[in-house]
Amino acid sequence: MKLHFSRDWLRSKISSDPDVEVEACSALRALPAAAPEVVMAERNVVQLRLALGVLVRQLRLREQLSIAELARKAQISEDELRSIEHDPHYTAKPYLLFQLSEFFDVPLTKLSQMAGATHSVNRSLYNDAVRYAVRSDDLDSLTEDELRDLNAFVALLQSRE
Amino acid sequence: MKQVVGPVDLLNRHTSVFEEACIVHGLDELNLDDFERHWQPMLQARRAEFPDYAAACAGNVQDWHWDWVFESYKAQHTLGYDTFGIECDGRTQALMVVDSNQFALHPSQQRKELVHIARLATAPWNRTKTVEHPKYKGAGRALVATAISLSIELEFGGRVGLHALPQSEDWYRRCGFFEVPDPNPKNTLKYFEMTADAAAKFLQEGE
Repeated sequence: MKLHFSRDWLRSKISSDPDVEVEACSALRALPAAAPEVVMAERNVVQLRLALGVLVRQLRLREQLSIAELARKAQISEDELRSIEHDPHYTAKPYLLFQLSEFFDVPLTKLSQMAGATHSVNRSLYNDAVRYAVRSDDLDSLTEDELRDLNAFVALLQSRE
Repeated sequence: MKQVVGPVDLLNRHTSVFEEACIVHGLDELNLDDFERHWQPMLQARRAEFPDYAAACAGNVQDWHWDWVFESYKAQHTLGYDTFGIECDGRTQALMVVDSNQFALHPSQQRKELVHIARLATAPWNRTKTVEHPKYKGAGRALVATAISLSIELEFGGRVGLHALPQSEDWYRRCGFFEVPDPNPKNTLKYFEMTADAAAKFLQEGE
């Protein structure tokens, strides 16, 4: 491949260009409006991560996927998926959260807050997440009640605040 | 496999002197190592300074979750998907991924093939909103000109499309890009296209 511009041309254009950011990308999604947020203590972060683990596991069960199947379909690693489902001290990588957010259509902002990846957390999200998590059992399949609670919680996450 | 496309120059803002850089097609261990060891920690640290995603976007770290290792893997296994980088002073100064399987939306060139800039990012230490004294200037223009060059080489006439950040919309307009309505209502960024005529004008002093 050949460049269709010269070094002189580029130098002269760089000199005359304003100092602006030129980053580009293809998919920035609509963002929810700002909501009241509070800085979380470590123990609250652990509770949120427990709730995130329940959420990811139940979403996976709802889609009737094994860990290996979800990992393959969402292009993430099985180990990371196991960690996010079961280890509240695991810090999920941004890429993992992004892929899960895209795969399950759950806003990345909410998943990031539940993963403890942000400094502050929406207070009502915290309350809803903990309330949702305490109602679930660690079973290999979803009961009708759990499915109803899961769908209600996902709808809450998807709603704009 | 990484190939050197050609030499260019970037302006070192600290010394006001141009330094030789090179544009590469395809990324190798050096580029991905730079991303994982130098870009990512800076972007994530800066992201943590913002309370939410919207603030992070305004602070120009909207790409904190991008995974260039994955983009490189995808490019190696997908026809028409290519990665480019700029190396200067032994480091990767900017990265770009393009998709040449896309079609134009601008009325004058509708349904004609174009090179779509799927992602373009400069190293965090070159960003005016990320560090107090950003280092190199010009990597963005060099990569946009590279995408136009690729479009010419593929016989797409220099047609290029991209979604621009709000703060860089004026710059893209000045470069000759036209704003075109985006058919995907979920995209919050404006979509721009460069026509073949605009590309020729953009590079008129080039060859």
